[in-house]
Amino acid sequence: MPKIQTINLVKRFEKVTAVNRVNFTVGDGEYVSIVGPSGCGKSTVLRMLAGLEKPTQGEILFDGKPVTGLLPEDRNIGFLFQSYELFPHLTVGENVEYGLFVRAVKKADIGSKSSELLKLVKLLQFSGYYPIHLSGGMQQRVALARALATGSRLLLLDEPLSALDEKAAVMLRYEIQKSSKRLGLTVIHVSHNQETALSSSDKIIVMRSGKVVQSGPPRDVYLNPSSPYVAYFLGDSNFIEATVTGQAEAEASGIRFRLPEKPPSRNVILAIRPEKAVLNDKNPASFNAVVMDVNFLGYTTEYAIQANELKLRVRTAKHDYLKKGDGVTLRLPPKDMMVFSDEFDLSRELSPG
Amino acid sequence: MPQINLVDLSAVEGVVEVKDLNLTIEDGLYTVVLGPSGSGKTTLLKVIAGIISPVKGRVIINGVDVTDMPPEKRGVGFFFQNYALFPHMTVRDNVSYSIRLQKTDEDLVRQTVDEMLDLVGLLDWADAFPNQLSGGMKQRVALARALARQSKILLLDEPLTALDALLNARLRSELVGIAKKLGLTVVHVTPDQEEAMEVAENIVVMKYGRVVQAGKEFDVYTKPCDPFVAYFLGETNFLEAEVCGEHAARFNGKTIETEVRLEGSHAVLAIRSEKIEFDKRGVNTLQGRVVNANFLGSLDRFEVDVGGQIVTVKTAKHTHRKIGDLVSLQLPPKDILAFKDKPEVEM
Amino acid sequence: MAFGFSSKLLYGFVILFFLFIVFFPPVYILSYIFGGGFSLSSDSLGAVVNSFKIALTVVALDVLFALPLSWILARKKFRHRLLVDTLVDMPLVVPTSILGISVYMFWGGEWAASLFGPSVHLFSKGYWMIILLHVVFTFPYLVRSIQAGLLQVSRIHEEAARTLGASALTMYRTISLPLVKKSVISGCILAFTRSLSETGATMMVAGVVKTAPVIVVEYKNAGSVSDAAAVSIVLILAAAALLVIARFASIKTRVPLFHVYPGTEKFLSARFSGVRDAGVFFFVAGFILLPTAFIVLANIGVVNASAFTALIHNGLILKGVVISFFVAAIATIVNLVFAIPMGVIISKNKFRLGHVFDTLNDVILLVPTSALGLSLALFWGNFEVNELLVLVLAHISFSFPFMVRPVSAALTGVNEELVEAARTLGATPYKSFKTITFPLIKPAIIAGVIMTFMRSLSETGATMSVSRNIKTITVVLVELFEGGQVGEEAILACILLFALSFIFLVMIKRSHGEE
Repeated sequence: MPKIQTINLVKRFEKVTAVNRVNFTVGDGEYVSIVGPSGCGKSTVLRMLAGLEKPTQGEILFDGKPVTGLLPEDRNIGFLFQSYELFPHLTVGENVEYGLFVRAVKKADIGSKSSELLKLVKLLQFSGYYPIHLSGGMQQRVALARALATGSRLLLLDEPLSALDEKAAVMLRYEIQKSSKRLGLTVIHVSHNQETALSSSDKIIVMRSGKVVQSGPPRDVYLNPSSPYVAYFLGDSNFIEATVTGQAEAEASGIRFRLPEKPPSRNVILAIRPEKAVLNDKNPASFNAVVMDVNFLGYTTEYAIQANELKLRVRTAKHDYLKKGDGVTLRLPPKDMMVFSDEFDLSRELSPG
Repeated sequence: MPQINLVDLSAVEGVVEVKDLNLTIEDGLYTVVLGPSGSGKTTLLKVIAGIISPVKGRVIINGVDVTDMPPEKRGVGFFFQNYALFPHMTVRDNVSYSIRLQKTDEDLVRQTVDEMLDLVGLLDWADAFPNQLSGGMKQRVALARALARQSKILLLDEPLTALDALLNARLRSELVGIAKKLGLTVVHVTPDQEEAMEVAENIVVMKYGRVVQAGKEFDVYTKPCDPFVAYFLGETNFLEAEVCGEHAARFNGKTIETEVRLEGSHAVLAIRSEKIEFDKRGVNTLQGRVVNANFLGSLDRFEVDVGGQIVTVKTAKHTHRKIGDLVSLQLPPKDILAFKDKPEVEM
Repeated sequence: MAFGFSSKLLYGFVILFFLFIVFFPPVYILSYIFGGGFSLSSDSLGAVVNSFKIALTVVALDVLFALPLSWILARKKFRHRLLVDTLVDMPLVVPTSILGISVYMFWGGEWAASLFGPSVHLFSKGYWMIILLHVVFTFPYLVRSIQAGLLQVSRIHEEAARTLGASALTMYRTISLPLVKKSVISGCILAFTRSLSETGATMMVAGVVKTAPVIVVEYKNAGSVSDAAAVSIVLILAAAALLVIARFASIKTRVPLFHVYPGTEKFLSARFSGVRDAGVFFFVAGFILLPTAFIVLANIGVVNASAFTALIHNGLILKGVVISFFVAAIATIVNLVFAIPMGVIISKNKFRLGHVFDTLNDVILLVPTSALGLSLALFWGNFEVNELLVLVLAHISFSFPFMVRPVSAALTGVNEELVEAARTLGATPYKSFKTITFPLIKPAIIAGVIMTFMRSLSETGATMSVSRNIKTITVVLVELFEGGQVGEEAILACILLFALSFIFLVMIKRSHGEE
């Protein structure tokens, strides 16, 4: 039985439908990321799971039982907010103890539980400090300890990394992942950052404009996106609008591309990720192109390549030291090519929000 | 001729300090000032603009000492992190504010502003108020407003930080495009090194109010002069080793060969995670066990336990490795850097 | 970002004005300790004790019902919220003399007898009626203060507490309440000093009970200046002591969290909330709104042509209105001019004196207006200055804080970066004030102007202690009431002033709404 299930979840605010019939399941012990641009409804979904927002329609089941009427304090969840606001009038230790305090747990038991958790997040020595003296990353770790102290098996994270410095965010991301695996927690992590979602999750749910667009294991969704939007949102993609010219062949701007399989329509949208395109290999399928711009990104270099009218971005860790104006050959391997039918309107797929 | 010069500059803003700073910002280039929060990068920007007066030192713009000049006379475009759009004015009035202060001809004002709005794609929203706009739109209004004055210097205080990741990524190239089109000198402040790497021509790395390293983006990345720079830009492994030769040091029982010269008895060898190769034959191979594996889309990232120390490896090559696997890592000598200490990092 | 030499001159002038016109008068009376002798009779002491007992009781009652009401207004969404919000503010703008008549009619009037039988009187003049009256016009201060504090408390804190298992009641008392501690205390201080200070309406409903401000006026009219001075001094010192204690308490003490009884508190949160809301609304309607509006509701028939004619021919009332409006207008205009620079000094902490002047402004509120009027009358009496001028100076003095507060709060609220942005876009400091800061504080200025005007209009104690001869409309009403001569024209005048107050209130709300 899934740990969490939503059935046709809907939320309407006056004129706006923020969440539009969302269905998904989360298994026990799974780490699931819900990812999408701002305004796509992901936070609203999470807040409905927590009971902080009431659904307009639809059901939420925990362990098979509907919770739609339950108040937040009765759902036994841990929740992390983006603005890691610890209670400013309580010390770090008192913050962590709060969940136990409101359940009238005996004083002796409270102390040991909060020490255990502060040790877990490596902040035991700060127990007597007030939040104002801690950095953002430290505060969020205290918030994590606070959320876990009640022993709840379900952790809901509402963009907990967004307000942090990059290094602190990356560190915390891995800490949350490791802690939750160690404690066997079920985690739902809402984020607008696709790299965060890909790196930590067992399952990723991609949302847009209130709807679930695709869900599945990160690698699957990344390599087999169901729409140009997903191909664009996760990682990055080059798009080519092409006309089919054969069994497994299409043409755009005078260049022929081999396709991985039979195309779904007469006109297709081809997509290939910048890291999958191959430069300067001696293969008859390669076509000629010119380097228009070189952008060094550190761990990789991005080349803006132009072949006839096609403009493509290619990334390679090999610093080939190509310069602007150099002639190159480019090949798009069919096995890495994503093909979409013309039911998709490319400009709509790529527009923000 | 360098366009902005900071000489022996010291300034304070609240708890953040800048100390004895010397910096040159090159004319016509896109310079990024990169550093963690509290490193003084925003303070630096505000001193250039004249919003903050320095305690010591001089600010020279285009050869003119402007240290005692108030902000309204410096003619520099400034973009605020939280946009600072005037809530009681429409988009058009916000953008035209600087021009209207000079009481120019109404039609000319309208034309200039419309051009600017068109450049950022907001012509249709000219009569809207800021509270009706989304974050991304507000960002573009703030940009248009800073550009309207047609100054050749543009100062951007974390222009992309408040945007969600998708919008952030899209707007990076737009910013660079506008800067190139208008031939601007840009100083762009950010704590995000990935953002910095994508937009910068020159990079200035700051920490605790001081410039740690400044130069061309490629040089700062490949030849960091301080462990902090190697740590903050990209992802780097730091291995403490005992020096046993001019180009050799012992780490974890193995001898590591380096191209750089080693001095003293003790060194911290640094190698970026994308430079380490799996299972490649050659010198400098280390054995370890995979303790963490993360899929990052275009890359895979692994944490490998090598004799008690965690080494991170990034690879774009498809690999079947998983947690628990025994692996062999190869560290190419040409990619190994050497420092005296590990970087000081806040937890 | 300096303004330059000329502005230093301007600020210097403003500070001098403040010290001389606004701050000096209350101080002058204190010097009487060293001067004309200090005699405190037992009657005087009794009056002071009465005032304190009343003020404390009033504040306690206010807090009891302001806590839940401010919560409802700050957090809950219900259909007529804006209306309730506006109505709660009514007692703040309606002149207290009118409130006095209205409260008396409601609680002591004949209507109860006509409904329930001849021997039923709800309340008669005296101690409890004073309390019921004071509750009416002090309650809004607490509600406003706590509501503003709650709106500042991030909802994230409250949501976090709920997700951690706290029921609504537990969350409120362990998280929200401790975080609005400062607002509660400052609201209490405002309410307390307002109650201590009130004279005119208190006279109407007090019967034989004497409060300190009332006795000050009586002494002064009887010529016993030193007795009047003595009472004033004791009032000021005792109130100042309380203020210091309260300020100290607000910083140093922590609201204790006590123990949590999850079951009970949960039950109270859920089941009880309906009862709680109903109780609060019943209190607000029955003890605040109805008594306030009763004068209009019960006498709506007075609005007819003959009453209007009588009103126009009533020289006493008309003269009173003219004098009141004249004094109020001058006080408002003068204060407006000086409050804006003073607001800048406080909000921008100019010359490091921001805190000092903020506290001094609060001190002025402490001084009961009758004492203030007395002080001015004594000081200027030495120079034989025209009584009307002294009256105007008195009104300028006590109403100044009512203009400064909203202005300095609004200036603090203006995001500094907006001004910085304007400067980088080429605006001089003056231009940036004119085009950015000023438009953004306009709603606050409008509110300040209206509040100051109405506060001046409302005042009785200061007027009475300055002069027996100048009768503002509120003084006229008090005298008519005490003489049992409140006729149709007087009631009609009250209703018209009431309507004016309502219009002003709506204006304030609308200008805030446009923000």
